[in-house]
Amino acid sequence: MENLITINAELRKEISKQARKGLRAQGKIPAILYGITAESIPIAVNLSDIKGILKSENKENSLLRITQGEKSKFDAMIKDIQYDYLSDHIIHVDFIRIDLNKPVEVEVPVVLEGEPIGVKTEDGLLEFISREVLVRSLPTSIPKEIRVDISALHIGQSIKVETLAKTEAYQILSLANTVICAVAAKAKEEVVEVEEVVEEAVEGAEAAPEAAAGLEKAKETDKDKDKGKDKDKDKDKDKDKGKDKDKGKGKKEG
Amino acid sequence: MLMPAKVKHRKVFRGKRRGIATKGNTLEFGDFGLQSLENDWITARQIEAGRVAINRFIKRGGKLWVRVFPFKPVTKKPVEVRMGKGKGDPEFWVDVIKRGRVLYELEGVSESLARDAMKLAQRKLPIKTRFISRTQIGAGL
Repeated sequence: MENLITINAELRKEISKQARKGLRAQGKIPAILYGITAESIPIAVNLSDIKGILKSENKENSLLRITQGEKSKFDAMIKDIQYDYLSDHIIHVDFIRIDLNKPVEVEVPVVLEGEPIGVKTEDGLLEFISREVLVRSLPTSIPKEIRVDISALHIGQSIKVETLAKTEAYQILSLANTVICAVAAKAKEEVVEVEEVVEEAVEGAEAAPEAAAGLEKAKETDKDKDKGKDKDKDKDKDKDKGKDKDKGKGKKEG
Repeated sequence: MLMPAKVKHRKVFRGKRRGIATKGNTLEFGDFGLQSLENDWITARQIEAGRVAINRFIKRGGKLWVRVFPFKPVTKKPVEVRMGKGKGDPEFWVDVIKRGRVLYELEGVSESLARDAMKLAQRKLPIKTRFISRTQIGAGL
């Protein structure tokens, strides 16, 4: 129970967008508390408290005691944190109620130790593929991180979840064949560039005749149009002449 | 240059560019990235120019992920052609980028090298972008 961090929360009566904006302006973060068959409660917590949690030893997997007023207290953990996509500010936090005697499923960060031989001497590249591993354990025995020694890795070798050390404190739920990290040979950039040039040349060759054909067609159609217009004009002129003639006849008759 | 191998429709409407990126707005693969701060079209040529600039600067040092792909064809009428007579032919390919979208990701290099490489790529793009790293998420509180 030493790791329990106590934070104060106040009930959010208004849950409108304006109210949430107002809270953030006051240095508070809108949050919600749910889990263990009870109703979800909209709450507001201090931003400084959340900062404190994220800077603590267990970070997002810290055990919390949320006190709302004097009567109600909940044991909880952080389920999710929403960040602003551009400023990286926290905009909302999800807390989930937990029972300290029942196991929970959390994601624990993987920390790589040492420098692989493949990178040191064989000019390889270390690829860190799975940065977190899903773990089931009692809330009080969640590991802070899972350390993996990668110093013996050569090019083409990898470390999978099945090779991680097993303990009684927690059970790893991630698939056994999930790759955590691998050492790969560096890509040869020059070959790729040559291929690209060939592709571009082919595209250009394809596009050019199409464009030229389009232009010719367009010119032809314009010429046809002009011819058609000229014919119409001639017809109109003939009509006018005919009218004039009729008019002349009428006058003479009159 | 990047372009789809096969498309359902050769010509598409131009569409709108408003809104924010709801997908592809976080670092998924690498430690460092370049995030867009504006909405615009990015052409296949611009994506390629950025990729080449980064790769040349890091000199096979790390691994680069290009998180955008030009799926959208843009048509253009030939020069000196009268209006009408149907839509023009596909001319180039673009991707609709909305603010927040991560364009490139980089791994296996130092932060200073990644910053300089991304700066070169920034100059190849028609939009404002910012450098992001895995360590800064949650640290800039």
